[in-house]
Amino acid sequence: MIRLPQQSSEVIDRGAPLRFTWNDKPVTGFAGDTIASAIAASGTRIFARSMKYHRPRGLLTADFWDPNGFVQVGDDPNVRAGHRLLENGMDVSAQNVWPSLDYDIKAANGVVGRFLTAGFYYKTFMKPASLWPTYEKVLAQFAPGGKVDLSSPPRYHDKRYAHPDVVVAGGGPAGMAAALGAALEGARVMLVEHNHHLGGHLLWGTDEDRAAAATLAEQCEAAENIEVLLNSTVTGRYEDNWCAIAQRSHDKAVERLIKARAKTLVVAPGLIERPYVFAGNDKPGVMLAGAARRLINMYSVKPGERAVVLTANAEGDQAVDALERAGVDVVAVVDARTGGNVIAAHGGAKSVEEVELGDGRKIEADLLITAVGWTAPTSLLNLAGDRPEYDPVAARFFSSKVPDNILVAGGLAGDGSLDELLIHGTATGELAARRASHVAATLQSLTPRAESIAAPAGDMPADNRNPLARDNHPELHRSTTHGIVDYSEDVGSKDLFAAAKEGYDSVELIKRFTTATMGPAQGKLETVNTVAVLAEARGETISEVGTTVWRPPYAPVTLGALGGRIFEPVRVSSIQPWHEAQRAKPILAGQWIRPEHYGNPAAEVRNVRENVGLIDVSPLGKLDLRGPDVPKLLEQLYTNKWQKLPVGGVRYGVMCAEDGIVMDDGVTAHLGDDHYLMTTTSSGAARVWEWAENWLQTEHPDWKVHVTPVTTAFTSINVAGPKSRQLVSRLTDVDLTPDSFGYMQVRQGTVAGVDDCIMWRIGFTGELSYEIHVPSGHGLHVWEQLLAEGDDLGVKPFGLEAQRIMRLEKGHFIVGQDTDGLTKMPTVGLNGLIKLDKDDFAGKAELSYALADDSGLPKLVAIQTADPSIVPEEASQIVRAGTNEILGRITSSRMSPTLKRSICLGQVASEAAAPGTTLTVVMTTGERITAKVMEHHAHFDPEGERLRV
Amino acid sequence: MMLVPCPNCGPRNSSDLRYVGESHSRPNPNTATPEEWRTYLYMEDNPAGPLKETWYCRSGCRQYFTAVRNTSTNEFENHPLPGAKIGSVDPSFHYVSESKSVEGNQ
Repeated sequence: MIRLPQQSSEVIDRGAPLRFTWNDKPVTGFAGDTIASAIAASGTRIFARSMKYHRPRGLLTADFWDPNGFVQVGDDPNVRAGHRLLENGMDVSAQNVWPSLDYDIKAANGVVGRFLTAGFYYKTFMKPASLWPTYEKVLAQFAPGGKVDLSSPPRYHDKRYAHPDVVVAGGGPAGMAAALGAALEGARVMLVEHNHHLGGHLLWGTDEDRAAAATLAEQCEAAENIEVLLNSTVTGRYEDNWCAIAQRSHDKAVERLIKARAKTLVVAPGLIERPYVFAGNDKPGVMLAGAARRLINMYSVKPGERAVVLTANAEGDQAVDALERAGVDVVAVVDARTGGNVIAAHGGAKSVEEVELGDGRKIEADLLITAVGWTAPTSLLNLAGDRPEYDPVAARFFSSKVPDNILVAGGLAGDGSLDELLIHGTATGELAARRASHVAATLQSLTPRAESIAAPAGDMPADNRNPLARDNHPELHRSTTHGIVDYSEDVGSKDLFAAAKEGYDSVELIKRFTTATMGPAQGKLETVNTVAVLAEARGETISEVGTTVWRPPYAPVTLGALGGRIFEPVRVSSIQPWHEAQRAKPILAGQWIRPEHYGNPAAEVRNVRENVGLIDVSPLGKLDLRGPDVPKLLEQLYTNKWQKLPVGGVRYGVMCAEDGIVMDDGVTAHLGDDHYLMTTTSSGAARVWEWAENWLQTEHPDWKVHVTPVTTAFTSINVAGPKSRQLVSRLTDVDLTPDSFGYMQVRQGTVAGVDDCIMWRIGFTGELSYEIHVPSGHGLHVWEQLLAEGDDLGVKPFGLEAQRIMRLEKGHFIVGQDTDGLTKMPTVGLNGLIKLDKDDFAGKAELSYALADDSGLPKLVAIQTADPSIVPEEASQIVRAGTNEILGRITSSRMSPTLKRSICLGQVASEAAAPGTTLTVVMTTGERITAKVMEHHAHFDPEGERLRV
Repeated sequence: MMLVPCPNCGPRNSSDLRYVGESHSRPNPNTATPEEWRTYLYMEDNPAGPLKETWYCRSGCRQYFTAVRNTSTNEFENHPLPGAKIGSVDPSFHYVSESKSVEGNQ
């Protein structure tokens, strides 16, 4: 192939040469070239090796769907060379070739090809199963595709949410006319074009075609209420016209996912040209009419020297014109409409050399162009529930029934002259706009307002368009010989016949068994031929065989675009700037960033046990509960009793779901008349709020309770350690003497000059401690005051890790760490808190069954290893000695700085839960160690004397 | 993504809401047999057709409401009324479908 002299139709800019490398050789193209057109213009015919047989392949469609046009560009694998625009300095190489494109060792697969028929892998590598890892390693060497470079820096992707009235999928003549028609009716339109230019098939058409395309494109670009998205694809249509649009043309993001809620969707993707099945149909030099016209008309590339053209339609006829204009010697035009046929393309490894015709003639040629019909890309319609029907007269599929909020235009709807397509497209756009108004009005009427909006009268505006006609087209799928049906998967018509014979004769089965239509083109080129060959094998019609269901995405989307930019907020406490200044090691806990430690968690533990420490526990979930019926709500949510908790009292409670599984725990304080403050686990705050609302709204709407989440309204500081009373007393007006402010009590008062602080005595760390909830604006002030005033007492901050060690020393379980989605409450050993004599509470039924016989439930126990220096990893299995029978697992484990030994919590079967039981723990190394079940959950101070002082 | 008509906020993306599940009445936990209770917990009617279900408008008004959705078409029948709070205004919230019998789940 060579570059032609300048042509009026070309889209390349000869004034802007671009230098790049193709398989390490320097090549020059022009701005506007695709990678494929630039490589083709350099004289290359072979672009790739086929997946299974490693047959040499050249351009087939020279567009996005070209099955042979996948290349590696730098660290970017599987780039579609027929679509991606050339850039200066690109490093382009062929994929799936070794050692080189021209000399490929694996082409030997072609010689042994008869072993690689459909189902070969399934049948050959099934047995023995033990050898599969070996097979896998070998087969991975043969896997097609580019190379992923894991060291590539991450690139920016983005998401956008849009609410247009009309989305038009496809920027060809019909799509542009529809966009303009809708815009004139006042609709806000998003016009989405898969390729780099508006115009569709007009771009590679006649001068008049291109002029018409340019005029329409100008009008679309100029229209204020049309947003044109080039190089973007509507990849899916979901419920209520939720359209996923992959925008590859964003100036900053590599790819942007647009989630557009369209009131109506116009589907006008045009038609995709279909290959013809015959012997040698994958030789370099066999290409579709569209490919030849694109190469010549858009990129000024001469695709060959001597051409045979098989034509069944006007596109084929126009390809003949284009070839002649480009100086290609068209040695034979085979007209399929009058019975002409191509039997085979013969030739060497690098090119077609001879074409064998149906009439027996053999013609020397290096180029064979086929124009045998169309695939209707009904993907978006399929996704809306449409099941396309085959029309044998037009030799393609058409939609059968689409919802009212989707309209079809262009080649999917029928055939016609350019004028007819434009008239139909305009009418489609106008109708889409009117229906969009109807949808908008309906949605508005469903939204409650001070003054309600009436629903629009009547149904959706009726479809009054004059339908497009359907042209007659000969049915051409397979010649009298066998050839490739799915180029990207290397599946031939012979494979399909064989699979049908083996019983895989339903279209969905044969697809999965042979992998036909499952390659990168996803059926755009090969679905109809697959169906046609299967129909032939079954002796039926295409209509009887039916077709497979197209699934999203219409075109591939990068994982980066789907991952997007994540709109996940990060939460921090008001003290976070101080933590950062102290270089605290941050840890992400749920949505919260909090200090894991300030350098030495063991030292932090010792300081709390000996002096006094401060921890920022602001993420603790906090719910303000007000109203006369709060005790009823508490009784409903917690398993224990709450009616008699006096003002000034704090109580611990466990919440279970209705299946008896432990859901959350925490303390709730009775602050005053009809006023309580509930705390939840940090991660459970939102869940418990919704849970409380659920009971209040659905089961007990008569209860008078107001629930307000106040997690971030307070900064929560726990002051823990034997000197905590001394420290806090320096800063508060609250009487801290043990007689007036005892364990599990709450007081309100001033701390460090800050009014309205809530303070309670609880003991998660096992030490005397005061948890102070400070109005958040003053959190940092109180924290700094506590540190300043306690300097002589040895006050130091401590982080989450020290707290976790101390709570483990005390044997306090953490919901979600020591419990899981199967842990019913009797497992955690707090049966005394399950009050079955209450009339009702969440989980009561299941807990009553469980308490009747809890022998089958595992038990949470404290565990100590025989060797005090060994800390088994969390989630280590506990097994029956000498066997692999699992009896339980370690749920928490740490080295205790206080006891100077390893300590654990674990869940074990009840038979192994008795104190003193010897357990076998399997370490991650496989080594087995012994450990012992302890009498109390608490490894340290089981009587709790330290926290009650 | 389908639009769910919240009675207070209007039609919203379903991701703005939490799907609570089929609406079934809660048995009396003091008298329910394990079979009855677990039928309530775990067994779904899952019909192809109209289904009464509970939604929670978690990103909007934070109200629970029931709606009847045709599971075959995802169309909501009888759009829930604005302000119709479950349990108070809508007396049909507690309903037991006829198909949901204990015997049927053995």
